[in-house]
Amino acid sequence: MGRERVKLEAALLLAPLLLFIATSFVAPIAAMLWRGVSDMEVPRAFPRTLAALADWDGRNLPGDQVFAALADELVAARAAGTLNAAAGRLNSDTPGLRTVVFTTARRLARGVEGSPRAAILAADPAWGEVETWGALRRAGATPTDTHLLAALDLRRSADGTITSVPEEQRVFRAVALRTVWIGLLVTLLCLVLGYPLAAALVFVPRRLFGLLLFAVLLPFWTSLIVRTAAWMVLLAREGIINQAFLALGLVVEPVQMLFTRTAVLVAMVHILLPFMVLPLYAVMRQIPRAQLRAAASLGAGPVAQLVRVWLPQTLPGVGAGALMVFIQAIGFYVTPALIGGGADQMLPYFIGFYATQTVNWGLAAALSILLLVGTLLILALFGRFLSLAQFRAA
Amino acid sequence: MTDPLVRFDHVAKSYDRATLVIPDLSFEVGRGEFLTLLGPSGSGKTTTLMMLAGFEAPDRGRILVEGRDIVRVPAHKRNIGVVFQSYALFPHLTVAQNVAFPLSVRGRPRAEIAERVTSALAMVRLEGLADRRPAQLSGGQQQRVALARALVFQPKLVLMDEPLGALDKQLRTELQAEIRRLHRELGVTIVYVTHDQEEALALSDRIAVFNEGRIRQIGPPQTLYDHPRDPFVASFIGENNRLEGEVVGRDEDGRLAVRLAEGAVVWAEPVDVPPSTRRVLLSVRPERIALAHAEAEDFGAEALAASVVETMFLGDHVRVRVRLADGSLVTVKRPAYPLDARLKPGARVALAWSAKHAIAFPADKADSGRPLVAGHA
Repeated sequence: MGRERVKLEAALLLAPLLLFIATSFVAPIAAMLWRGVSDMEVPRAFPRTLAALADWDGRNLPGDQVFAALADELVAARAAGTLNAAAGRLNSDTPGLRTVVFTTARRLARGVEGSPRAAILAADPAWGEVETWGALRRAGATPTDTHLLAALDLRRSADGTITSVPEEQRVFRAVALRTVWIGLLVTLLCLVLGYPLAAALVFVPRRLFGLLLFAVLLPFWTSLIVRTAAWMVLLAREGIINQAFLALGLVVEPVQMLFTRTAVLVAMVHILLPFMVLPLYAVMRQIPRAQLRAAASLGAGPVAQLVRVWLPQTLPGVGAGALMVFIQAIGFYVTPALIGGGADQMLPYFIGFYATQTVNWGLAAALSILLLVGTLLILALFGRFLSLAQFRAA
Repeated sequence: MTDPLVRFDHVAKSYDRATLVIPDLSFEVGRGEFLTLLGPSGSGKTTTLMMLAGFEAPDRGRILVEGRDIVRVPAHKRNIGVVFQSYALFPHLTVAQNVAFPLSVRGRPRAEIAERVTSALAMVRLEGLADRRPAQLSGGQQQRVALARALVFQPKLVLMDEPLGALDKQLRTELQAEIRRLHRELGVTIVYVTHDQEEALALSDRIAVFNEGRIRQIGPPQTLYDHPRDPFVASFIGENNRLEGEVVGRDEDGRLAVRLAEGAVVWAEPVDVPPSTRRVLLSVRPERIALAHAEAEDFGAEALAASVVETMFLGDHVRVRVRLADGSLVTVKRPAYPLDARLKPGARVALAWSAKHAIAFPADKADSGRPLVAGHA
C-alpha cells in the first residue's frame, strides 16, 4: 500500500508540470504537425464534389454527377466566401488554378446553360485536363501526403504515381542538403576549435582555468539576437573589421563579409561553441591524470598517451557535443536570416517563410515534420553510437 | 652495497621553490630487493617514488639506475613498472588489451604479445577474465590486472604506490601474499610505498622510515622493530610506551639508570645518548612488559606500581591500560588465555621489564606532539 501511495503522490506532484507541458507544448506541436498531413480549405468548399470524386479512376475525365456537384458548389462557395481559401490551396498545388477556379465560379454564377459539364468546360478549358481534377482530389484528402511530398520536391500525378516536380520548381531537396551541410560544417568547426579548448580547461593551472571557463560561458549571458546583431556590426561593409582593414591598408575597398556563407558559419560557430566545449570538458575532467602517468610508465610517449589512452576516452564527449551542436545548427533561424544571403538559408527559414509570408501552413508543417524526423533520426543514430561508446568507456 | 640497482645521491626536491619537501636524500636499492618506503602522509615517500618513476624531477642531486643518471630520462623511456593506488587501468580497453599495452607501444609482434599476455594473466590468476572491461572487475581483480600490466614487459624495477590502499583488510592480506610470491618468483626489484607499518613489516626485505622528507632509519623489519634509532621510528613501527625520566647513573656496559617521573629507578639501553644528557625518553613495547598481581616491591627492585584503567579483549590478546603513580598511562599486551578475571578497572598491579627491552633516547630528540602510545593497532 505504501508503495502505491508514494507513486500516487509522485504523480500528483508532477501533475501541474505535465499539464503545462501537454497544453503549451505537446498540443500545439501536434496540431501544427497535423496540418502537415491534412487539408481543410478544399473539403470545406467542395464536400460533395470530393465525395463524388472518390471512385474516379484518375485517367479519364470524371462523370457528369461530379461536374454537377462542382457547378453547384462553386457557386455556393463563392457566395459563402469559402472559395478564396480553397482556390489559394489549389493554386499552391498547381500554379494557375486560382484563376481557373475564380473564372469558372464567376461564369457559372451568371447562370448555367445546358449541362453542368458543358458549362464548366466552356468556362475554362483547364477542366478538360485530368491533372486539374487530380489536384482537386489531392487537395481534399485527409490524411494527405501532398505537403510531405512537396517538402521533398515530389508530387502525385492524377493517377496516383509519385513523381519529381520539374527541375526548375525543385527547392527543398537543395535546402535540406544545404541545411545538413551547414550543420556538419558548424559541428566540425566547433569540434576543431572546442576540443583543444576543453583540453586546455582540464590542463591549465587553477587561476587560468577560471578565466577560460568565464570566457567560454560568457556568450550564455547574452541573447542570441544580440550576439547575431553584434556580428552584423562587426562584419558590415562600414563595420569595424572593414574599417580596421582599410586603416591598416590591408584592402583598398571594403570586403563583402556580411550576407556570405562564411559570415553565417563564423556567427553560428561562435554561438554554438560552448555546447561543444562543455560536454567535452565534462568527459575530459573525469579521466584520471594517473592514467597518463600509467601510460608513460608503460612506455607510451606523449603522442601515444594522447592517442591511445586519452583520446578514446573523450569520444563520448565528442559524440555528445557534436550531437548538441548539430541538432541546434540545423534548427538555426535568426542567425542565417540576419547574416546570410539568399543561398545561405536553411530549412527553418523556409518554415518561417511559408508560415508567415504565404500562409501555406500545410507546407510549413510538412517542412517542420521533415526537420523533426531528420533530427530524431540523427538522435537515434547517435544515441546508439553514444550508448555504445559510453558502455565502452564505462 | 656493492652493486646497487638504484642509488639516490643527495637528492633535493621542492614544489614551490621555497620549502624543500625533500632536503637531502641518499639511499640505495639492491638488485632483487623489496624495499618499502614507510612514513606518514606528507613525509616525502611518494615524492621519492614519483622522482624515481620520472613523474617529478628533483631540484638537485642524481638518481642512478645501474650506474646511469636517469634524472633527464623521460618516464616513458625509463622501463620502470608502476602500480598505482587507483589502479589506473584504461577503462576503454579490455583486461587483455590493458596488459598488452606496454608490449604494443613497444611494437612487439602480435603473436609474442598474445603469448606474454596469457602468461602474465595466468601469473596473477586472472586467466578467465581476459575479455572483461576493468569496470566489470572487483577492486582486487583490478589491482591484479595492474600488477600484470606493470610486470608483463619485464622491467627490472617495479614501483608500487600504496597499491593496496583502496582494498579491504582481507583482500589486502591476500594480495600481500601474492605480491611477495611474484617478487620471489620473478626476482624483480620492488620499491613499495605505504603508510601501513604492518604491511611494510609483512612484505619488505628492508624498510626506509620517512619523516619530514628524511629517512630516519633504513634496515630489515626486525632491526627497525627491535632497535629503532630514534623515537619517531620507535613509535611509528609497532606500538611503544613512552616514559620520561632523568639519568641518575651508568653501569660499565653503558646502560643508564633512569629515574622515572613516578619515582622508581629502572635500567635502559641508550641510543645516541650523549654523556651530558640528563633528560631521556624511554621506549618500551607493550608486549615486553610483565604484569603481576602483586605489590611492586615484592615483584622486583625495578618494578612499578600501577592500577588498571581498562582492559580490552581483542581475541588473540588483551590490552591493559594502567596508570602509574604520577598519572602517566602505560599499555600492556598479554595473551588472552588463560583469561585473567582480576584485570578489572581499579585493580592494583605491578609492572616490570627487562633492561634490554627498554630503549632510552635523549629527550630533546623526541617530537613532543606525538601521543604517548603511537602506531597502528
